[in-house]
Parts: sequence; C-alpha cells; structure tokens
Amino acid sequence: MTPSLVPLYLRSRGLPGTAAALAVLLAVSRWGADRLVDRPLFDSGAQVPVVVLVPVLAAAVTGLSLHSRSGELDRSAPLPWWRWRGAHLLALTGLAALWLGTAVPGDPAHFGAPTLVRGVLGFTGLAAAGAALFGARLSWLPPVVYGGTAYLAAPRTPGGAAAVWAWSMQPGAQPAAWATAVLLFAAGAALVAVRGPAADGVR
Amino acid sequence: MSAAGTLATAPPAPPAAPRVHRTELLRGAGVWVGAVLAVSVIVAVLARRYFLFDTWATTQATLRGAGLILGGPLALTAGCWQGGREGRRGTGDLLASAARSPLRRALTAALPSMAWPVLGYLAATAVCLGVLLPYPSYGHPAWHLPVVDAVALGSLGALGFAAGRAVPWRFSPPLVGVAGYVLLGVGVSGYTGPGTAWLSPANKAWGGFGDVPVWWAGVLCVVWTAGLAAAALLAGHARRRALAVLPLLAAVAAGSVLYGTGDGLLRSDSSATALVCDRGTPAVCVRADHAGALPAVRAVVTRIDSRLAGAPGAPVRYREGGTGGVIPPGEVRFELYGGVFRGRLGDPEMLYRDFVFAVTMPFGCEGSSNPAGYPAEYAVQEWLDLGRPLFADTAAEERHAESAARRLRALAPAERRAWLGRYLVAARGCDTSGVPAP
Repeated sequence: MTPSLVPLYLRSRGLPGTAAALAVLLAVSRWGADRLVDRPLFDSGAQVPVVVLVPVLAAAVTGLSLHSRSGELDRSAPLPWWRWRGAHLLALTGLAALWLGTAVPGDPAHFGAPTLVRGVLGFTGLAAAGAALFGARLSWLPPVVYGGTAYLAAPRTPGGAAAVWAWSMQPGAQPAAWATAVLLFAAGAALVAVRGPAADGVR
Repeated sequence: MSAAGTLATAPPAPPAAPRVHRTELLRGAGVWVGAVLAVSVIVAVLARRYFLFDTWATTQATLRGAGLILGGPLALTAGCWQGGREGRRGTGDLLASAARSPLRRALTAALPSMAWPVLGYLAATAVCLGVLLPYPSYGHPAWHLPVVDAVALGSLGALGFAAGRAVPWRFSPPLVGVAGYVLLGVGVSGYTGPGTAWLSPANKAWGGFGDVPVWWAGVLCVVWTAGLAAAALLAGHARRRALAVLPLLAAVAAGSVLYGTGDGLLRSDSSATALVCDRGTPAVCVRADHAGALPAVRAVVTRIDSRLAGAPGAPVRYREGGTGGVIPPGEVRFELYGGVFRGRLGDPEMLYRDFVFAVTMPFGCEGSSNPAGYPAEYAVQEWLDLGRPLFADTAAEERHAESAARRLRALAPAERRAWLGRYLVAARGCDTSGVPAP
C-alpha cells in the first residue's frame, strides 16, 4: 500500500464521518441503556433492546461506509482492492465492537458486552453481504430486516435450532450462536472484500 | 367498401401505451417490499404460535404488533427510497413535463409505496389467520382490525415517500426507518404512558386480557394515520398547499382524542373475565377465556394438593386473576403467564412454582431470599417438590437446611400433616419464625 493513498481512501469513503456516527451511536446507546435501567421496575434485563439492536445500527453505518462515488474508476485502479476493503471492514468492526463492548456492560451472563460484540460481528457480516449483493446504499437492509424479525420471532427458550436461526437473540455464551455470527462475518467480509460493493446504479 | 374490408385493410392498431400505474406497481422495489413484509410477518407471528394465541384478541394483537413493528419501518424506508428516486435518476424535470397535475404525478409515483405494504400485510394476515384458525379458544376475529393496520401501513409508506421527496439524501431511508422503528416501538414497549402508546399504530393495548377497544378506536386510528399521510402528500405536491390543513386538522383531532383518552378506549369484556369453576375440591376457577384450560389447571392443583395431603391451612380455592387485590385466607390467586394453547398450559411448571410460592410465602409477605437461612421454608418447599437451588454462606447452613428437608420427608404422614398445617397457617400471617424446622 502506498502510504499517501491512505488519507485519500479515508476521505473518499467518508470514514471520519463514519467514525463520528459510531461515536454518536455509542453515546446514544449508553444513554439509552442507562435510562432504561434507571426506570422503576426495570433491571439490567431492560437493556436487551439496546444490547440486541444497537449492533444492527453499527452494522448499517459500517455497510454504508463502503459506498464509493467513483466505483467504476476505483475498479480500474491497479490496486489490491480486497486488502483495502478487508482492512476497512476489520478496522470499523473492531472499533464498533471495542467501543460498544466497553460502553454498555449490561449483564454479561445474559445480554451484555459479549452479546454486543457478537451482534456487531454477525450484523456487519450481513451488511457486508448486502453491500456485495445490493450495493452499499442498500447494504443496511439485510441486517435491519433480519434483526427486526429475529427480535420479535425468537423463542423464549434459548438454544436448539434457534441458536442458529435466531443467533442474535441468544442470551449468554451459546457456542452455536457465536459460530453463526463469526461465520456470517467471515462470509460477508470475504464476499465484499473480493467482489466489492455492487454498482449502485440509478435504482 | 364493406365493413369486413375495412377491418382487413385498416392499419394495425399501435400497441397500447403501458398503463403508468401498472408500470409503477410492477417495476422497482415495491414487489420485494411486499414480499419481504409478508414473509417476515408470517415468520414472526407463526414462530410464537405455541404460547401466545389463546384468544383472538391476543392473536390479532400479535399480528398487529409484528405487522407494524416490522412492516412499518420497512414501508417508511421503501417509501423514502421511492421518493428519492427522481433525485437519484435526475428525472425530476422529465416527470414535471408530464401533462398531469403535480399531485397526480406524485400519487402515481407513491402508489407502490402505499400499495405493496398494504398488500403484503393483508397477504400475511390471510395466511396467519388461516393457519391459526383452530388455535384460539375464546372470542372471535375482529375483521376491521386488519383494515386499520393496513391503512396505517399504507400511510407510513406515503409519509416515507413524502420524506424522500423532501430530502432526497443517501442516508434518508435508513434514518427514516430507524426513527419509525423507535416511534412505533414506543407503542409496544410499555416505557411510556398509555396516551403516547395509543398514538403508535403498533399499540398492543388492543389485545389485553379481558379488554376490548371500542369500535370507534379503529376509526380514530385510521383518521390519525391517513390524515397525517394525506397532509404530507398535499403539503408537498398539491397545487393549493393550504388544502393540507384539512387532513392535518382531522389527524390532530383524532390524535388528541387518542392521546387524551388513552386506555379509556378499552371496555372491559365482562364475559371474558367471568370466572368458570369446576366442582372439585379444592375449588379451581379460571377466567372464561381460559375455560378450556380448566382440566390442565386442575391437574397442577391436584399435584400440589396431594403433597399438602389435607393439612390444615391448605388452600381451599385456586382462582385466576385478581392477584393485586385483597386475597381472602385459604385462596390462592394466579395468572397463566405461560399462556394457554388448545386447552394445554404453555408452562405448567411455572404455574406449579407459582402455587408453591403462593402457599409458602403468600403475596404481600416478603419472602426470604436465602433458603439456607430459613430451614423450615426450604424444607416445605423441598417437600412440595420446588427444586429450589440451595446456596448458603457456610456449608453448615446448607447441611442444616438439607437435614430439615430430609427429616420432613421422613416424618410419619400424620405428623407431617400437622407440621405442614402449623407452617401454612403461620405463612398466611407472614411470620413463620414460630415454627421450628422439623
């Protein structure tokens, strides 16, 4: 990587803005989590909406950051793009996981920091796959639709087949849920790193 | 020239121009929005069928919640995307040259945003109600509710479209969708007061226990959502924008009635809350909407009653509901939190645990949190087969509690009955300190 390309890449993908959006998300989620817990009759279980749904938003922000205004031009550049896109995704995912994981401790045995990190991984994978398939502008659609549906449809009893299909709603450390999230991240990140975001066109 | 000749020699008619409404409906993302909405609502509703749907009210409230919470943000987002289309394509000027009024042009472009969420939701409703038809044991479907929800979804699509036209920005659709998710979620979260919750079309108060909304609550909801949507479209695209004031006023009027009346829009359904009892001893009573579950509740009562073996102070009546009121001595009140499914209890173990706790530490008494510190309480709960975990500060306390439980098991039936009787009577008075462990 030529060093001078790094600032250009950061600017062309609007990454400072993305980092700012993640920071705002972090502040809002921390505020929301505290507010939910402070209410009478609610304990740390009340943070579940924040713990489960904030990673969806973080993934949406990450997915949107893959947008490039000059996609065609980028493709013509003799650069190993998969490394750039891979580093881009890894850096943002790591940032989101680190920030969110430290901001909202929650109840780690049920829904807490590990749930947030798992959610960031899985949903970012979905967003990355969405970018590769529908273009970066619509990349937030798969994590939002899946996250919303799983939130309502997940059974109350954890484990079993639900640990795979409703991985985002599993309390505690369910190995199957973690495996699904990591697999989703690996698959989505690989897909978008190799293929790049689909052309947005003029839908 | 004969008529036949005319027909034979006339030039072939030019192919009819494609109908613009049909084209708008079938091209673009609309079909997909309808399909995704239908599938996600069907999945979300049917995934819970085994523990929610004992009455038509809860069934339809679940359908409504899933449809609006999942479909509402989707309709908003898709509408916003559709509204920003001319901006993305740079076809605004081309569209403006069409020989139609601005409002008709906007309505034509907004058609898929309004129609597909409605069609997707109605399809999901048809599938879910068809599948769930045999499950609910009480009540009857309220056919106007899907219409109210469908109008809300179509209105959300129109509102999204108006927002997309006003601010055609790359981040508008996700932001509008997230804002919609939050605002609609207010209606089902229980975090806000009842007035605010009724402003959300996803409000789940419609399916509460023993409550039915008055029929005109649906009308208010329709006027509230459709009025806002009409006002947004008129304000953005009508030639006389001031016309938007009319639907806006109607919406605000309906909204303020919804907000001001809140849960006052519910009428208690006395036939659902009436008690149905069986003739056994002890008496078991459930609400009429759970009448089918009476034998199942009786089975759980028999289980605890056989353990109590007629000890003096054992409950003589088990009654559903009214856990908040003053409970006469000898009565146990419970709620079927686990739900009822075709006469079966969703969670009989939970009901049994509720019974054990109601008998050994009645409502209103502060129960102990440390079983080892209260060997008598631990012993009676163990005898009643509660399976409460035993964690104590010291191994000696644990041994003490366990040996108390063992001694209670080893007592002769008559002695055990006498001891249980003393304990149960003391527990009713919230003070078991006078009853030493066996």
